[in-house]
Amino acid sequence: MFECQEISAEHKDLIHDVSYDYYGDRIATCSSDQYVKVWDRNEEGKWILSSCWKGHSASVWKVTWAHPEFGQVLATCSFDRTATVWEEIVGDTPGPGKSGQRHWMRRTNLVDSRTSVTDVKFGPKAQGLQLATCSAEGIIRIYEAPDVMNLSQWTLQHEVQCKLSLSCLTWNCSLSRAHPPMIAVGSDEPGSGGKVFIYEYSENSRKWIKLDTVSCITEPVHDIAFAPNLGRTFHILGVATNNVRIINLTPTDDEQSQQSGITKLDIQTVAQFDEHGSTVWRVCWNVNGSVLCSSGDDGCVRMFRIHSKTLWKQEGVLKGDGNQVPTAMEAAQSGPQHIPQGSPVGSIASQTARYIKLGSISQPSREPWY
Amino acid sequence: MTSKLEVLWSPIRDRFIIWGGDTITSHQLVPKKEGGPTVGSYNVSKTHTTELICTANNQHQVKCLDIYPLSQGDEIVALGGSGGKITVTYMAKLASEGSGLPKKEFNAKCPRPCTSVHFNPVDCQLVAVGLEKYKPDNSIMIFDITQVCAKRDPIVGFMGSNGVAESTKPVWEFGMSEHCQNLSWFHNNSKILATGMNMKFIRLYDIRDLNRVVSSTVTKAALGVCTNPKDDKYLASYFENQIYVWDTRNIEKPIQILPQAKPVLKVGWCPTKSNLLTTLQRDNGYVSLYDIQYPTIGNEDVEPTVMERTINLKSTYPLASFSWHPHDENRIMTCSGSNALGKIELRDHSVYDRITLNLTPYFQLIWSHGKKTLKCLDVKHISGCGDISTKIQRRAKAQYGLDDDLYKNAEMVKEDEVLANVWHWLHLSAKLVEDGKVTGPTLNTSFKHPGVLSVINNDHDNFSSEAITVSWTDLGHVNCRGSVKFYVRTDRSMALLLCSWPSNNDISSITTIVEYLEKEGAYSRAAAMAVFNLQVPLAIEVLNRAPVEAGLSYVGIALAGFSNEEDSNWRKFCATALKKIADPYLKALFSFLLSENHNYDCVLKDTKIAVDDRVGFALVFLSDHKLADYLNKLSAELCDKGNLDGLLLTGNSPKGLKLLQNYLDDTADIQSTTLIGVRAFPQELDSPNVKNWIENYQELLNQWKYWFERAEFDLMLVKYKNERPTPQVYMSCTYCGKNISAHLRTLKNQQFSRINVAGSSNKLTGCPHCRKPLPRCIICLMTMGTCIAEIKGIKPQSFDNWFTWCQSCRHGGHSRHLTNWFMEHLECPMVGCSCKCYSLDYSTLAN
Repeated sequence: MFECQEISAEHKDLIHDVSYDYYGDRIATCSSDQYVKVWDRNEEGKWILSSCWKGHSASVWKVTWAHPEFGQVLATCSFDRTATVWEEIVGDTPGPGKSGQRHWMRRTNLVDSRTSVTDVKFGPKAQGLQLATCSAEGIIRIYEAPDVMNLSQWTLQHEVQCKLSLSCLTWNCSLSRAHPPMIAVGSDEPGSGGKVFIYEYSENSRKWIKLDTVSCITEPVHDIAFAPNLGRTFHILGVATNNVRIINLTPTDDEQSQQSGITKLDIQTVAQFDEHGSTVWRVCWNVNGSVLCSSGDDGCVRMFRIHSKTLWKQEGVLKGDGNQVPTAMEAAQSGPQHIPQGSPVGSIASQTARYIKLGSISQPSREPWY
Repeated sequence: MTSKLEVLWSPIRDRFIIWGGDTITSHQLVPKKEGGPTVGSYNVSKTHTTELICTANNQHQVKCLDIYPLSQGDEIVALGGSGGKITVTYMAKLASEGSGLPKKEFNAKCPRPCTSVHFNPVDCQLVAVGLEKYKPDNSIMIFDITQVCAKRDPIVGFMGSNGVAESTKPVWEFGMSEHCQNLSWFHNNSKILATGMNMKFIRLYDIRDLNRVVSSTVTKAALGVCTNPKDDKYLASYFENQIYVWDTRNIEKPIQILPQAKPVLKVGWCPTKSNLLTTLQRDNGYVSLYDIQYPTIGNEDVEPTVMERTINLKSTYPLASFSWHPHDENRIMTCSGSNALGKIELRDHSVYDRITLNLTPYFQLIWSHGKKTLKCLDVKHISGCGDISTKIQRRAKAQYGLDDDLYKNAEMVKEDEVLANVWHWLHLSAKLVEDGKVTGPTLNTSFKHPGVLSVINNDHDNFSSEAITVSWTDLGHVNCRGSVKFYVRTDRSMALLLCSWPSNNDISSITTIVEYLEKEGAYSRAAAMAVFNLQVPLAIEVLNRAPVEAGLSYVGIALAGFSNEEDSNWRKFCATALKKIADPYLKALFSFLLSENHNYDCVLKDTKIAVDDRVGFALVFLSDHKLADYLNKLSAELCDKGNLDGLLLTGNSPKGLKLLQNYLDDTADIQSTTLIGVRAFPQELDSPNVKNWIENYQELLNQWKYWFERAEFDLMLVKYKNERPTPQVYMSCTYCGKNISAHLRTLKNQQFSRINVAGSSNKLTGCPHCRKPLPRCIICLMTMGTCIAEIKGIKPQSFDNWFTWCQSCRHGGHSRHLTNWFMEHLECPMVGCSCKCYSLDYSTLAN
């Protein structure tokens, strides 16, 4: 029914991250075995290993691609307290008519952290080549390559103290000029208090300023991801904690925020899914932010889809081995009933009024009849 | 004392041993069969149950147990007894003493209980036994179960030693006058034994040199000392509710102390994962997993970090024990309950690895499954009806939104009626404006798609509607009383056109529309339309003409009896039947006929009736004030919900833009939002909202590599903007620095320039200002602007003559020449330049 392609990654230990490039034609994986691997998709859609190298001297937590505009560039971060930027280059011993050997060169090692670097992400391309890292010591660091042609030069632009040990980081990749650069981080430190923090770059003070703490999330957070903004009036944040949360962050235009130049956010939890029944490890969005996928300790991958800005529903469940788990939802889809899954918190907006279709074409084309 | 319960995976595939109280049983995993469970079997998972192989009863003297790691066919177990007797035998022998299978017994000199027994994982014939303290004797003994026989194969040797006559002396013994709580062999360096002694030491002994203790440390955590099968570096032990992790190279201090909420029952390392410590607490249904990371960076050791995971194994009773499968990754068997009560629960679990996952732009999901595999799946088809992103992709490929005729775009979104209607309405409204059918004082030329709200005049005092009252009797319904009141005004008629409703009392237009609806199969809607226009006989005709399948002919009969007199049977019957009608249009039809005091809420508030019809109805039957109220309310409601039907009311006013934004917020359909925004709101193209949509849509198309579709979208966009695109590259002379591009442009405009006359090419070969030559092609050394020669009869195509440069080394020439060069070479053809121009860009190679 569903073709599930299996790639034998042959990592010698747990795979911590898998990341696609901008076009989805290449993937990079990283693992506790300290290796980073890059795979290319061939014409038949199969993934072929193209490079494999030992990247760090400890577990590699995350791997991420830069926008192709900057070349084939990867960043990794590791338990060995460093983050590294890699660039793919063409080897020196090519034969005529053949493309040269390609391999990944370490362009820079970012060694500012004194503890494990837990996440690394490239900033939106409008900001140039920026890289944000977060570490177990609770510091967000923003690096920038002032010359995009020279990836060995990175300057540490900002250091933001968070107090709590950080586990994950995400950029808000809004294309709108009305939205200043924004970062959300999550902490996996146990204990009370909010675990998700929102930061924004203030042009006036040239500093990253903490906008808000998402106070309703007090359990350790393992992953966090901004949905592609897509021109919405609000930002959607997916959070993996002891359950899956979807949070709308709506910038409010009041006078105060206009004067200070600092955005004020209206934070609303629009969905909370406890289906995993256990710790949720990762979340990721589709290209337009209409589907969120999550993985949890129950060994399942779950999918959630938007129904309206405040209503999300679980749509599909996959077991780790690729088999689909039929959900009550799908069972119901054969019948006329629609059983809502998940419990949207906030206000449940009533389903948008759609008139019932009578027959196949109830709404005739609106040709001018006169 | 609660009876002990242990579970142990056997080295034999799919077999395991349960030891609880005085019973030891051996089991085999079998797939679940039809029918109920058999005696002595446990449901270990959804798919598997167990089959009892053998039971050994009355083993109450047994204090500790281990399975011979090379057991084949049947488990060979070593049992440490309470009297210092160690029995090594087959399970089958244990179960029935009478069988002729061999059995071997070793005895401690002085009887006292055994505390621990462990087979050496490498030199498997060695079994180490820990004993309680007895003054004049050693507390640790190591026996060789094959010693008495010279034969090398331990099993054969073992088999040969039938009887207990041979020497049963230990090979090594040590720990005089001490108490051994626990011992465990190291797995790689198998000559070393880790022991917990006297409740206060952890000692490591090397059997090659027993006089020397390898290392030792004083600690109260001397219980449950266990070695890590994957890494000899680590050792774990516990004391009350604390777990200690030790580094054997530096055992003085524990590297980590892990506090637990409750007293610890068992600790163990996972044999298939590196450094995964598993712990079990008393009276708990959870196991805790600790992934211990202790890397060396350069030459220094870094603080170890521990990642904790708690796994709820959903056991009915508190867990008693666990056993990791020796080979299958992530497989753990747990047991709970008690043998004494006859209630044991066994579970064969998979402890899932953390799954990491990601989605491609084209909706492929990839996730990790275990440490070796990644799984990759196209999830397009999984989410039921298909996600909007895949719809956008399909529509983009079909050139959706780019067609000059607005209504043709509806073809591509046929499956979404609301969207299709929007395109039809945009077409209709544009045509109405063009034909001058819809005009108004407030409409300027940019309002090509005026909404009903902007057409209706709100100046009630100076411009009121004419109310016309018609009695039903005049309409030919003799059984009826009362009258209908409707309103007429020029702007109302214009608005009706926008709703594709007929103008009041225009019989021919009513019939046209009704017939049209009928043709489309919307019979009840056609009938309702006729009734709303007071043509009841026409409605009856429509209903009678409807095919039998529609089941409407009876409705026609019912309608024929129309009589709204106070106490008429028809009225009474209809009032009760009304509640049962499912079809919203039939319901509206009858409620309209039954309505009193011009209260039409039943029609106006039914969200199942198309917005067009509700608005059309309001335009006919509501008074000026009520109409304004209704339209404002409805538009606010639709705008709020992002319902695109509301565009009928708002048109392309700023309100309509807000509605589009709400539609986007709700549906994530950036494509239709952008396209409607661009096509219907040309005056808003520079507003931040629309600009942002356009950028996001372009980005989406780029990400899918739909570059042509994006370019076509850009082309369409330019039509709405009165801008000339600026050139991307300017050219200036290397010698004099003057602009050549500007000159070329003027040349193009001079129709009768000399160069144009000279030939088909109007390209320059020299700088028009200083007369110096333009750059040369590095292959043919001709200056830019020259045409390349015909090679082997292949005529150069237009692009071949173009000049191109490497963006990195800035060497270049005719594109044809360069392509040919790079088919065979990797480096730049320029002397001394080692730039790999052609391979610099990843995407050119990928294609």
